[in-house]
Amino acid sequence: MIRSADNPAAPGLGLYLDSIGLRAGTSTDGHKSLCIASEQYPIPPAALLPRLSGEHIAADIGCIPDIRGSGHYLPEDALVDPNKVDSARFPIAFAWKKIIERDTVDWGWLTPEGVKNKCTAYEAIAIVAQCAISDFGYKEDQQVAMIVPNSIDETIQESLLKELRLSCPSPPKLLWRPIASALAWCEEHASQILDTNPEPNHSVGDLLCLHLGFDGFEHCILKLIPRRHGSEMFLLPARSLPKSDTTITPNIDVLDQLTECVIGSIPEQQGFRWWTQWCTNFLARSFAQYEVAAGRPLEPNCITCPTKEDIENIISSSKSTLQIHKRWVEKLASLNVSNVLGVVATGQLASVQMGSHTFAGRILLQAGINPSSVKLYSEGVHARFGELLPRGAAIFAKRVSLGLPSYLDTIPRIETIVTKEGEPTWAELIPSIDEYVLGGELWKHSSKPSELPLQINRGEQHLKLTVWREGHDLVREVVRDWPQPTKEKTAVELEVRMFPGQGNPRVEVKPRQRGVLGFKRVYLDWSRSEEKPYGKQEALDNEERTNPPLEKRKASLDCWQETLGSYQQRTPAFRRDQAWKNACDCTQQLMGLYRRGRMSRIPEALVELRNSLRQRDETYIRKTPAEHASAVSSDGHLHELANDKELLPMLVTKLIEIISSNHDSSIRDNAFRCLGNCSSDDPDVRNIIHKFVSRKRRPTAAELWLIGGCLRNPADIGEFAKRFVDWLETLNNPLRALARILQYREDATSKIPSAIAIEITDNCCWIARQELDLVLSGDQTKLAQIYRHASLCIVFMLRRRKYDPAFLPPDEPLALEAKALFARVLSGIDAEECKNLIRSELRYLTLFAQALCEMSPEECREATNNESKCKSLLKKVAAKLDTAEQIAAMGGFVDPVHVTKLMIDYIDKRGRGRLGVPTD
Amino acid sequence: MATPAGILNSPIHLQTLLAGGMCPGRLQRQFIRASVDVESISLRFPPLFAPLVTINPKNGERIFELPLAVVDSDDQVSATETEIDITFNDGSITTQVVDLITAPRRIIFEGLQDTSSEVTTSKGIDNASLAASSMIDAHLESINEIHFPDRDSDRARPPQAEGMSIISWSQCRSIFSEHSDDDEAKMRLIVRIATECEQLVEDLCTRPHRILRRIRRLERVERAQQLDSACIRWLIRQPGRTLVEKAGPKRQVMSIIRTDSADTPENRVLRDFLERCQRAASQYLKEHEYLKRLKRRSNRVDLVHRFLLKATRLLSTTEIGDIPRLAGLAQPNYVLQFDERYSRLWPWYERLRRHQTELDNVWRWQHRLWAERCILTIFAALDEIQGKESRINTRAFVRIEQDNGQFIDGRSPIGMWIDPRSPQRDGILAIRGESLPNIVPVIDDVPVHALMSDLFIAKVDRFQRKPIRQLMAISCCFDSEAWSHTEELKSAIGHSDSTVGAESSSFQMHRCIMIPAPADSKYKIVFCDDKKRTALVTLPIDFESSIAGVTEILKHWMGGHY
Repeated sequence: MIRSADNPAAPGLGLYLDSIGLRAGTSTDGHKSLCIASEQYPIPPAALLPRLSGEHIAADIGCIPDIRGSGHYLPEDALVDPNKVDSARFPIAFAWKKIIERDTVDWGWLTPEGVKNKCTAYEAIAIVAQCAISDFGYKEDQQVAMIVPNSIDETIQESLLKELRLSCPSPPKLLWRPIASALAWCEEHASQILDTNPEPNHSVGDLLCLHLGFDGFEHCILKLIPRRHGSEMFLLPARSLPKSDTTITPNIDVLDQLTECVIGSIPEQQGFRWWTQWCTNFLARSFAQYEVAAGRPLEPNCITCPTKEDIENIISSSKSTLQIHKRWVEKLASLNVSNVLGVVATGQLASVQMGSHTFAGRILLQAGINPSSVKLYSEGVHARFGELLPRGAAIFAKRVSLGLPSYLDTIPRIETIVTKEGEPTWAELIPSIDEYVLGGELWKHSSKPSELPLQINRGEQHLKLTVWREGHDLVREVVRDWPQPTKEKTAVELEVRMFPGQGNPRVEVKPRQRGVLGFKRVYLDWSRSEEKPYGKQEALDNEERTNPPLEKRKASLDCWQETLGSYQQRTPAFRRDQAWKNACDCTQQLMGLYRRGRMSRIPEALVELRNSLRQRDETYIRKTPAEHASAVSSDGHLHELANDKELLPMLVTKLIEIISSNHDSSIRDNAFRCLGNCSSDDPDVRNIIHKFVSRKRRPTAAELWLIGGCLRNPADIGEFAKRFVDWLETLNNPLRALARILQYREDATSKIPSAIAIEITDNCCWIARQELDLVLSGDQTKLAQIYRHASLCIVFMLRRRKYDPAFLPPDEPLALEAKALFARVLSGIDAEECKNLIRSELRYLTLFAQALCEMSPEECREATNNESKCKSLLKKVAAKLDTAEQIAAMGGFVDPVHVTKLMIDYIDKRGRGRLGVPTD
Repeated sequence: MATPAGILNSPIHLQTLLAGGMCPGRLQRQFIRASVDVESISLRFPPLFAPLVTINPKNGERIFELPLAVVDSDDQVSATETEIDITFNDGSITTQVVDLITAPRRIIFEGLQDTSSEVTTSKGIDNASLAASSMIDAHLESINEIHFPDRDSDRARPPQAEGMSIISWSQCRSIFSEHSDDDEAKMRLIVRIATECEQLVEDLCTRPHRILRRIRRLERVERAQQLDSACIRWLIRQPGRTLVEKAGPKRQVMSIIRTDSADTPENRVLRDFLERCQRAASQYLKEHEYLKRLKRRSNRVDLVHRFLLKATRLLSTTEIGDIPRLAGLAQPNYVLQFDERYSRLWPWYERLRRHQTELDNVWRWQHRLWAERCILTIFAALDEIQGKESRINTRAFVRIEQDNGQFIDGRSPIGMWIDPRSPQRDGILAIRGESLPNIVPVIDDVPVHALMSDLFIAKVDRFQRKPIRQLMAISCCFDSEAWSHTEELKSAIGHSDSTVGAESSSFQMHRCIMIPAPADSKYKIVFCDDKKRTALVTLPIDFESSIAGVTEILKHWMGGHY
């Protein structure tokens, strides 16, 4: 084992925890880097599980291994259960395997005292790393870099860094394996390339990094980019985010095969193999036979090693588990290697001779690269066995400590939830960056107001910061408070800081005006913030909204096919294959009937079509929240899997022809309804609707059906809204039309003036209250469609807040009135739910009291401020509720209680999720 | 006379390490061989459990060790009767009487008489007692140093697990070797205390921590300043109608008075500390009396002597000597923990108290303590033989309190050594007696358990299924005068060897018995049998000197003979 005396005061220390060894490299200022452990062949590093309670997990990296868990038959803590892998010794090879395979089961050891001790894979690696760092002579001013596989994702990185922080006094930086090998390559070949004076910041070619070790097979293409730093030019490898199939982990059985080859068959397979394989250095020594460059004979006192031929036979054997994964080779073969300037090959197997080529050479041939035509740099051939990676890591560590550029990396996408026009949405904090950023150095980015204008509203006293980053499925959240509410809306910037390759971004809210947030720093540190058990979409759904999301009608494949079928039934005379086309030729069909004097069948056919198009799909209704789906969506589209998509525009055209050529009002009405159910956006339909909206006469029920289904133009919607108040005499139809428009169309409220919107809301409140009174007085059995449409108009009109944030604040009298109305309804619908609501949310107490106890507002306000009075009031309300008459609501497929509560929440600007209330 | 164990139909048989009656009594260690159905064996007085030494893997026979008897009378007795309870697996208990071999008499020092420099001790102290005391003292001091490292040393307090300190074997060795230096007088805890605390105790005794105490006392009426309810009750109970009548002829009433007092828990601790220091210093001076006889000077002896005089003077001249003694165990109060002066005293007091308590407890287990010392010596010697390749992760779990004479926990991972001279780089394993059943699969036909050894050293081939090439059983006995009875020992060893029949067809079997060497002498192979299989070795008590001897012996053994 190398000791501190052998490690001069080097600014950088690189560490590589291999399956069968531990290596370190050091790099002194002004000198070439060197691998300080290359002459040693330590045992495979392992963590030792504690036997006593309170004993710490220890690392075993010494030349004479600790006896614990070694697989020997004495003493008792050396024993390994032959039937199990778990033991007191946790080799790092198994730890890496567990991490890469995402095996979350801890390594365990049942001590002779019968206690089960455990160790996680991350713990084991961190403890061994810490031991190695101190053993290699770490000094406080030294930067340490630890090599990790290229394929580990952000979650693994983060877990590893977390454990390293806990174990090591100065945690090492993580370095990607291809970058480490590339840095070693660059140290050897960069001067030749840089002598040609390449243009800075432009790629001069690619470097293929191959790793063929027991700990994994990996290939990665890096770009080589010259970059100037001061007066000096550096050739830096640039890494893109890897694809998972560039790495495979060979089974540990490979080592077993090699062991068996040397030791022969052993009765106590597991225990003995453990002893020979994980507590000796013979495998490392065996592969050192391929160290061509060194050319030294093995030391005489080494234990028996397999011969070169043995190893070659094992690797090339068809039974060998070393047979490389087919997909990996295919991926390698599909790489674009036209720009490959050089190749660096690392790993124990790279230099194993197989016929006329080394193993690495054979792989290169498979990838279409002639080894002799590129600058090949291979371990065991051009450099000492196991030397390149620690050397590369040491170069990285040295450059980081000296502030020099080390490598280029890509930044993962980072997004946060912002509310834009009342709608929460994910906003990218980092604009797409084509350029690479310097790895290992702190990288900062502030959102520019031009790119992402952000502000905190007036009166806010806390902020919830929800952040998602690429590579993670789940989001993280943090809620920060500040002492005083903001007095005015405050423009802020979001600053992102992170070390590329080291994970853990930090997103900080920076107000332009200092002190607005009470001089408190509001930030989210990824490593310390709470991980939520949901992903991006769910986080968005959980976000509080000021206005409800649209409730669009979906297109159902089943409904469309039924519509088709019904029409085929109506036209049996036509050939089946052309049935639908001919059926759609409504004009001919209908005119034919007309000519033949079968007048009664024309409206009947249209009614059939209308009903078919209106038919809703029950499977969508059973979803939570419920969805409305019919043959054609509210956007006028068919289901994506539907055949004969061209038939819908044909149908629309024919219906328009019927309308224009027919004066029979019943036929026209049915045609209007059919068009309304098709939600057509045909220009002719738009013209027809425009006429309806702009003329003085009130539209008929059928026309309103058409308007509700097809009106899209915001200006026309505004006009419709203005005139809507006058048409309320017929109640249901205009209400339904408006409700449909508001819940189908994204920009429906954009041209509705706020005053008109208020007036409509007021009217809707009045209508809904009338309906409620009718029910309570017994004149009506249940709350019917009028109430439903009126309440939907109230709620969806809140979408006006998108364009006018001051629209209907929760404390405005009209809002209070609406909430009181819904609370009344709620109390009637479900008295028990209402009681719970009262108990949990005292803010509604005033409204309930006012509604049910007929108390004056002042009295109620006083009551809420006084605890004892409040309780008595609650009792009163509860008593009233116990005797309250149940109100039957025409719920249909919605949950009236949930929907009504959600409506109140939306008025209060804290609604979450969809209402799930279709108009029909 | 008690019934000798081993009677017919008895579940137990009394056995000694060497053949009985052939060697001096004190060299013997007593064991009880019990049948498989015996769960435990305990002594009635003192209430002690006999430790389980090993189990015969073939028939489940269990071997327990008996402690030495400690006698307080001046009569020299060689054996003492005691009752033992034998608990069976089914819960039943039977009682038998056995004769225990007596330990050397405990040295009880009674301090100095006034200011004279003569130390008075109890009668009948012999060299055996002094040697035992010296060995135990040195061992305890090292163990204490492991748990509570000296502030001046670079060592931090070792990590703890299950109340045990975890320390590497190399560190353990350096602590045990620490006390071997040029000064002829040994380094002991009292020397440290004398060095560290001389000024402190002077300061504390002359300016002790005082408190203002409120007590009720009869006081003249005109002086009474404060009364409480108890005083009023007292006054009411007095005969008379007026205050004058109630005050009586002495004109005294019960009142609260405030008095300045040094009678505080911390000062009681200080007194106890000084008295304990007196004991320890007296013992140290007695132990090193030979230096005085040889007219050799030692700074340590002078220092301790000076400290003893000071402690005696402080106890007799300052008010600390008048403070009542501690009742029960001292608990660290706020002053002892955080006061600038007293907080320095408390760790030393705690350490001294623990040291003396352990000294009392371990006296009857001196054979086992000696065995532990020898084992540590063997480990250090194997490290020496191995050379630069060190055992990195092996560590000792050291108990704070002795467990039947042993501080190193049996679960301590010992590790493996490499024989640098063997071409195959053979491994050397050390197996403690209690782990013996684990090696049964590889020594199947050799009844090594019957040797009742403290340690087995096995030379193993690292890549063979039946790896043992050589096995050495090491037994340790502590009798400082045994070396003078060579002939008896020869006979006893020869007899026991034939009893054991320690022969094996598959590997070489050796046996080594380690006894303490006479003062000022080095290690010596006192006796070796004709086949060069069994050796009796004397080892000096001094740790560092004994390593050299053991190294020699082990090198010979690795070569195949002594």
